Amino acid sequence: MKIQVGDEVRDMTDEEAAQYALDVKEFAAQEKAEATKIKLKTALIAKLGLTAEEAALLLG
Amino acid sequence: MGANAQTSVPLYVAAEVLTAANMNISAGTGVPVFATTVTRDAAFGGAGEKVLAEGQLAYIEASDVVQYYTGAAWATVGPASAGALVFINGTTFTTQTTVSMAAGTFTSTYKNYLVILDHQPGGSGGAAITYRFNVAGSPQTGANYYGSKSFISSAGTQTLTGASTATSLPMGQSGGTTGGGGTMTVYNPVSATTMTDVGGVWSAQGGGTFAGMYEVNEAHDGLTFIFATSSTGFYRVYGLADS
Repeated sequence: MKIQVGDEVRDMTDEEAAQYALDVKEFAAQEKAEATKIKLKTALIAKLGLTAEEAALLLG
Repeated sequence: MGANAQTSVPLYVAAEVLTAANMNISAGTGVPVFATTVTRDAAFGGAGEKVLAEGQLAYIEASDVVQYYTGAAWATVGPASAGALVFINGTTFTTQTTVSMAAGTFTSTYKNYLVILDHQPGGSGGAAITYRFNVAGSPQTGANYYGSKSFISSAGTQTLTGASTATSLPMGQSGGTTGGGGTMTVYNPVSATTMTDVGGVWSAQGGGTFAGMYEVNEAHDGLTFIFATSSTGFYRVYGLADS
């Protein structure tokens, strides 16, 4: 795996590669959390019987 | 004193013998060149010298500027200094997941910096972007980042992302292949006795704002951008002069 520092592209050190692996995990967790949040919000709006427009008015 | 520098601006009188040396002064220096403003001032108005008047031009070697005389004072042609917004460095990158500024990008020359980042992800995966502050060119990965991001998609859906004791700060959010760009102001990064703060705006298929800080009093000399999906793009760094 590569890293670019200024104009130089080089191989990542072991430490940098490990950090990027952690970052990717964090990105995925964040994405999942956000998707879950949107899903829950949509379900709640449906439960309340609101249209998308009404929900946008309420939350906007 | 350079080869073109002169110490007088002579005038000629009727019947004077015009020598090669006289002609060379005229032919060699369209705009008179002076070593300093002192030799410039001494070159006018003396016996056999041109009277200084409005419109006179001069080049000053010491400061590398062209000046004109207004009739009352010398003024510099063009900007007298580099300006308030000065390009520091920038680069393009191709299919990279991590892009770091070169060590020493932020220096004590400027207190605040403007950074522009633009990218196009190379795949259909997530395209979140985070960033870190660098010390001697290396990103700080300690859990000392605090900040947030607000992004409203083109569908009108807002996503709020907080970062507390995080190891990086949220910045942008682009579609898998559509890309995006952001502008951020980095406040006082080189101060070793204060924390570095950042605030900015992200544009993609939608838009958002982001801000944050690294809660350690230390100096930072650059940023590192981390892409969820390898990206192609560029960044530019500008110093914001105080005057």
